[in-house]
Amino acid sequence: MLKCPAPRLWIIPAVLLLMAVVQRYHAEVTHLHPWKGGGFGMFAAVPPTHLLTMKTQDGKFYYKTPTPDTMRRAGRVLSTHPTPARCEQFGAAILEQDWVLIPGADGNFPVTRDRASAFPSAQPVTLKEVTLDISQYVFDKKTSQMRHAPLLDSVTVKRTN
Amino acid sequence: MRQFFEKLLSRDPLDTVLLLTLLLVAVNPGESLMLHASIQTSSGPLHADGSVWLDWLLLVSTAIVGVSGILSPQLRSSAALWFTLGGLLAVVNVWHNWHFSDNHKFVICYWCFGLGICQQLRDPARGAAWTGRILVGLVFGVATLWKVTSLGYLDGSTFQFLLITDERFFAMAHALAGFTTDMFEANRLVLTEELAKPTQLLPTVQYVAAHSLQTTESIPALAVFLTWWTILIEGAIAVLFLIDRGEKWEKWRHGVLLFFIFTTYPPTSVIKFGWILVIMALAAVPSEWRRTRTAYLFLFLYIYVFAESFLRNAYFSWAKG
Repeated sequence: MLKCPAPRLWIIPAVLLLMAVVQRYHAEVTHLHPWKGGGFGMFAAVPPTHLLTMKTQDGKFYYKTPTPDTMRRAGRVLSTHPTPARCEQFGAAILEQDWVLIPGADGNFPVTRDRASAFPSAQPVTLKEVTLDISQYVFDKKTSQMRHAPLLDSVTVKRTN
Repeated sequence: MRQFFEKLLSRDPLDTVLLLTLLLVAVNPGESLMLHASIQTSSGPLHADGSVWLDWLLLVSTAIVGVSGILSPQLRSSAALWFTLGGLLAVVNVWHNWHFSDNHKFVICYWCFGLGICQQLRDPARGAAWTGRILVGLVFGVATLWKVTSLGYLDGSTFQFLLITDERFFAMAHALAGFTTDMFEANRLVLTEELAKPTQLLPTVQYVAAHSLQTTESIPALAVFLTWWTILIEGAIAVLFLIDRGEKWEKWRHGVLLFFIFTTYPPTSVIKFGWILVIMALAAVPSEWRRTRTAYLFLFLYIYVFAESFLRNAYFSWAKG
């Protein structure tokens, strides 16, 4: 029988269990990706495909909005662990970016200025509000279909100044 | 090859475990750094927000500490080295990248802290044996609990989805359920291109799109088999490692784990998780069990060689016909 040689060694399995409980809580309650976060949920659930769609408004028009390059990491955090609070933070950061309007196939759309070098005459735009929708694809094994469904209520963030 | 293993087996068993752990830690940051440099999305680099410098700093520090330990036997037998490594890995993987880190990175972190505590004991090898056994048992125990309490797992959806979309399961789906390369590629196209078009989904998000994935009649049965086989074998490993009932029990413990690792990790290319399990289990093997230790050391090499060499390509070519 191999007994624990020192009581302080129990700290290690205790931390593992604590992290696993925290991860499971977040996976069940706050939409954390079940494969991530140190809880050993890999291959225990269909890996969710979360989608972030954004539309911004300059006061008159709505535009489909891409995630700026400088916010890629935050965007990935948001899609791995989407929460309403994180959506609000992300939305507020979106409004603080330096946006310009460039022409596209479906009309004008905003990009951050650093990505508009091919459009020197692009007009700056002040975005007044942004609406974020987090949705997911759910696998239906009976029909073998990926069904699209909302994950969180839409979050709209308005410019305060 | 035989001489190589003889030489490895004649070393202090704990020191071999420490060296393999340092190798794993030193290799891991290297890969992460390459990943940082190469992650690109359709509209630019993933880490273009300035936070990448912290990852780089921590990962380079981890690699330096890891290599220093490999070069210095004195250093690798000090608790300070293991607590430093554990601390660096905790900051990188648990604090800074909690949302992205895979499970094995957490386990490596726990193991490093455990080795640090063990180095403070009178008999570090005994401490490492206990820690390795308990951690392997808990990893499989928690994974089994996750599965048996997940409805999406128990109804077979998870494996059904993985068999028709995940390259790691393709060979099995092809050989046992008649799933073809064309079907697999069509499904990958749906997942990587069709579902990644959020603009198509505006303005409403209420079930506006349903994409069919291709499958075969035998896939659901294979998925049910894999679902229950995984619960059975992972649950058995958890019980065998968490409970201690003498030598015969211990032989079963290592036999079942060796079988599981051999059949699971090389074909699925899960190198790091396979390695950390091998290292922790190796620490729990009695020093006089040379054959078992040889099997784990062989597996450590085999996981890497299989996943990174022509063997894996040959395996997938064979599977794809």
